[in-house]
Amino acid sequence: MIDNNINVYRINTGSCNGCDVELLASILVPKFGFDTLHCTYTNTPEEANIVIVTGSITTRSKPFLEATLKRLPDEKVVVAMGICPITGGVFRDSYSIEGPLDRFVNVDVNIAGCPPSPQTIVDGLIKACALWKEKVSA
Amino acid sequence: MNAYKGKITFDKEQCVLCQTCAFVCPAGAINITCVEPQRYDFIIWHNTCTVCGNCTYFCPTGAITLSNTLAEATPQSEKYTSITANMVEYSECPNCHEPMINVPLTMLKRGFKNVSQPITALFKLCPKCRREHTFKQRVL
Repeated sequence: MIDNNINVYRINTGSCNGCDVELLASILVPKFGFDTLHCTYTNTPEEANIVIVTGSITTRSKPFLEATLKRLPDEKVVVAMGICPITGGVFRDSYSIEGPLDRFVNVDVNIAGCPPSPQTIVDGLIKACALWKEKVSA
Repeated sequence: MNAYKGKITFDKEQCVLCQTCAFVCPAGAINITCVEPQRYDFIIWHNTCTVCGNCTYFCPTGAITLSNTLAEATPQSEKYTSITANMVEYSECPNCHEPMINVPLTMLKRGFKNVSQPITALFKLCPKCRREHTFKQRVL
C-alpha cells in the first residue's frame, strides 16, 4: 500500500442512484482529478479511509447500513453525499425513512445538492482528504 | 448564463410574503415564520434544497431566482447554518402610517400594461388609502 493512498468506500442506503451515477460516472473520470487526490475506490469496508454515504436511510436498508458500519475501521472520515443522508431531503418525515445519517454515525463533511454537481463532489472530497490527513498526522 | 443547479437566491425587496414558495417546495427547504407583528423570517435551508426550481417558477414577483453559484460542500458543523436568512418587513403607508406589504414593480408590471408614475404612486399607499384616493378622483 502506498503511504499517502486514500481508500474511498461507498454505501448506498436506498438512494435513487442519482448520486451514485454522479460519483462513479463523473468523479472517477480523470478530468476531475480523483487520482491526483491519491484516492482509490475500494469495495472492502475494512480498508476504507473515506466513507461516502448516499441515499436517505430507508427502513429496508437500515440493518445493512448498521452491519457495514460495524465493519468499518474506527479511524475514518464520513461524507454524506446529496441532501438525502444530510437531512432526509424530499423524503424527510416519511414513514419508511430512518435517517438522517448523523443518527447512526458521526458525519464530517456534507455535500449538498440533488444530485451534487461534480465540482461540489470534488470540493467535498478535497475537504474529506484534508480531514483524513489531519487525523493520520495527529 | 448557466442557471442549471445553481443555489437559490432571495431578494427581500421583491417579496410580498404570499408563501407560495413554501407551499410548493417539495423538500420543505423554505421556512417563513412571523417573529413579531409585521416582521417575517425568510429562511432557505440549502442542505435540503433539491434545486428543482419550483419556487422560482411559482414566485409571482421573481423574488426567488436560481443563481450561478453551485451548492456547497460544508463541514458537519455548518449543517444547520448553511442557510440564506432574510428578514422581510412591512413598509409604512405614507398617508395613514399603517403597516402594509410593499408592492414591488415586478408585481405592477404583471397587472398593468404600462406602469406609469400615477400607478406607482397609488400603489405606495395602503389598500384603504388607495381605495379612498381612487374614490375621490372618480366621484368628487
